[in-house]
Amino acid sequence: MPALLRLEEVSKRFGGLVANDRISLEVQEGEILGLIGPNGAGKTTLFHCISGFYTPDSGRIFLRGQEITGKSPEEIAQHGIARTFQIVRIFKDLTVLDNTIVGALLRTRSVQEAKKKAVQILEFTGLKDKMDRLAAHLTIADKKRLELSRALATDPVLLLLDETMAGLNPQEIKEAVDLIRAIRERGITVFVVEHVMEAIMTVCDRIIVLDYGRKIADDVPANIATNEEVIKAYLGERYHVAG
Amino acid sequence: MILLQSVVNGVLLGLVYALIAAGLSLIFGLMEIVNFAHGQFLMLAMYGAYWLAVLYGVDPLFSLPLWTIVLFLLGVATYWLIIARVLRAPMLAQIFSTFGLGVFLQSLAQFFWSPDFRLVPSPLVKGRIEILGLFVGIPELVASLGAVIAFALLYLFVTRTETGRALQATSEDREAAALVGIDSHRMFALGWGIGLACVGIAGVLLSNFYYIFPEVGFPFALIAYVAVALGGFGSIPGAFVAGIIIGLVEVLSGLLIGPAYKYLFVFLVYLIVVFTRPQGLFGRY
Amino acid sequence: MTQELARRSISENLSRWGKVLLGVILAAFLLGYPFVFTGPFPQHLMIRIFLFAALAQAWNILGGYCGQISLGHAVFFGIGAYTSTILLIYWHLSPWLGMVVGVLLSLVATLLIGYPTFRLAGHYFAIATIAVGEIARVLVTNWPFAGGAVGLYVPLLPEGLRTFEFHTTKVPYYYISLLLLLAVTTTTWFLERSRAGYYFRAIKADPDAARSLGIPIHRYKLLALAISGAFTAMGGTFYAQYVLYIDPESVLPLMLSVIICLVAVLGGVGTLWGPILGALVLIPLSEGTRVYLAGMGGAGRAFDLIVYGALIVLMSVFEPTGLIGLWRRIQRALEVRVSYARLAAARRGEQTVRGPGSQ
Repeated sequence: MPALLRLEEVSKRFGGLVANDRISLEVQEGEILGLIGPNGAGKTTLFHCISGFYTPDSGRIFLRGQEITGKSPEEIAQHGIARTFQIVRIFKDLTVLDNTIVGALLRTRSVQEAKKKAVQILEFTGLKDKMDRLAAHLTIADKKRLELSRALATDPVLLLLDETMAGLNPQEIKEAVDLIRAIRERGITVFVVEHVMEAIMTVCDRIIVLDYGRKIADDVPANIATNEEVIKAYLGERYHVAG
Repeated sequence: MILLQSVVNGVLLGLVYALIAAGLSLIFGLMEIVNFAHGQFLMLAMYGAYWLAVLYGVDPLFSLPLWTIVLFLLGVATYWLIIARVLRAPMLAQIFSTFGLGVFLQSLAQFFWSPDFRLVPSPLVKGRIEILGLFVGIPELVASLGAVIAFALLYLFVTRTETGRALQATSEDREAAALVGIDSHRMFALGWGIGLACVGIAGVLLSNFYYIFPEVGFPFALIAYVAVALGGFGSIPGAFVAGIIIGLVEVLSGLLIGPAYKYLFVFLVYLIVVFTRPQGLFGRY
Repeated sequence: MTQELARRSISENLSRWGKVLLGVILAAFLLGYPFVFTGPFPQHLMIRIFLFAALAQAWNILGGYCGQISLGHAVFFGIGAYTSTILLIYWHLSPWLGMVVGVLLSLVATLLIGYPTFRLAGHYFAIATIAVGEIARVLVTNWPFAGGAVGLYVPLLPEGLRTFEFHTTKVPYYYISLLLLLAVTTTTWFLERSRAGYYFRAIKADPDAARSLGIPIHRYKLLALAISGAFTAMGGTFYAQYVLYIDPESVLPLMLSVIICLVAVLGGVGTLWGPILGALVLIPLSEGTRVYLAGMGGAGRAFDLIVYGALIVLMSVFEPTGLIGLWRRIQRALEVRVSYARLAAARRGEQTVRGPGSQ
């Protein structure tokens, strides 16, 4: 079966800094794939390249065999890739429901239909009780949940989650893990960047590790935990942080 | 010859523009807020110099220090009374807080001082001199020299003094500056003070040879926006170079195409610059 | 809980019949006004209110809903005024057709202005619109065909709906301006509930997030500008036919652009009633001061602007949501009080004590 998303040698440079260095990877239909790496490894940059916010300097990106390299973010969203942001970017002055309706309007012109779908999605993500609140008034956990609901409302085939669990407490992390699993049950492929290791180890089928912009590992979680190069990369970071 | 004469006039004018733009740029660099009342503060300084000259016979040259200080205080007051309260507000509120202030000041001037055009009666600096066959108005010369001196002082202050460096640090990275113990509110207030002091100096120097009326500040402010965009928002050396460029554009297009069109070309320069190089000539983005 | 109860209490209990009744009274007032107030000043005042409410409402579509602050809307007003007048003078075209052509030209202007400027964000965009407005003013001032700085007189024709000129009465102007306001308000009402309306608000809130949801933000900004500019151009034609004289200083000045958005901002941007409320407060203020201070010559004309300016500063600092926001705050305070009274009544004797407002 061909991969849902395929990256061929994707590179992105900022001046002298190589944020992504010839990264190739495949995301299979229906999997939960993790992307980890020390700070500054180029994870968010890679997500920006996939979602069209950055144009890669070289390399190609395919969704279901169709090339999407260099397309605009809005085109890529129309193709079925939805994303969340590292720092939550919900529409603060809109209600929870209206936020989600904006997402749902990608697939329908009718606001009525979009509303129906938005309510369903909010029920699924557990925000239905709060749907009349202003997004600005939500807790951090609920804001992240809302951003995810909004992305889900666009009917994506692939969902890019950029650190959805950062800043959550253990209970909220557990809920987020359950939610990611439930999303996969709906037939949506999930690609997550995450710093919370326990969570990513339990939720992912496979994990890709980046270090200094290069891909250094691509394996099932059990093997990643014992991979020498990965440990080195992370130990390096730990020393760095300690120093 | 006439072309050379225009170039000289353009540079002289441009130096004054540069000083006005520097104040605007300083404020923008610090907090990403455009002072839409910039021109009206210039107008206040001009009227200030005018009234002191008319009522008490104090020549603008002598009231210069006074108005510099007054404008500095006005800047600090504007910051604490208005700007500090809209720092976190939506952009619309930021734009309109200073815009409203500009409308307020300008109509206040019109209400109290009427829309009449006024000139400072017989200022100390007047007449013109001939240098190498070029005629240079002495007031214009004094204004541009004053602008250069003020500009040099500003630049030395920002780069050489402890406070100036703190100001720059805040401009570059507010959070980092806060981490090393720089109170950003104080820096912002200082930025507004200095920004308006620049305008105060420019206004008083202009009052020696420019007509004074309630709307006088507006074209200057527009030109300052253009200069700031051209030089790069937040860049003080950029404002200097851009001010001179715009002075030249204005005078030369006035000469070559017609005086009626001179502002048109200044605005065209703005549009071309922001479309082709949004970060400006010296922008750090 | 308390909140929900509160919301239901006033808004919904009063609604239905209350709203219908209120609507009928309002409609009767608006339709009957020129027959009750027959003097030229009250009619003129209302026409100005309608015109500026319509212009502010049009600005609101772009500035309030879509979040693009234009300080150059006089360009569109000028296009409307000059197009119909020039077509009437040189080709004897009916001002009504002139209005249509004006709208078409405003759409061309939308593309010319919007295409490049929409790449700019925030303050840069606002300054760019000032630049565009000033360029237009300078060009027209130096264009003899369009009357230059002297301006153009609209040729006097026999009065009537067909010629869009009325010399003996202001009443038709009253209804036409009311219709214009109604048209732009209805459009806004529909927009609010449409996909475009949702997209406008999303773009205003966070353009990048909007793009990630598949919204082609440039196209929607252009749409907002097109609708906004078209109604502003209609206002321009109306103005030309009402005053029968136009010049760059009356239809293209920056101050006009400023007043248009001040009206909207003061009333409350991004709301349906904000611009109307703003016009109801600001226009009588400026017309009133103009009349009472007429003896002071030019100085009197500035008084309204002193108040405008001060109001705008105060609003930006204390209530950025405008008069509408102020009104809502008062309403909420009242509602909470009412609901407390009800709760207290319902729970008399009950033991449970609840804290104020569950929010």
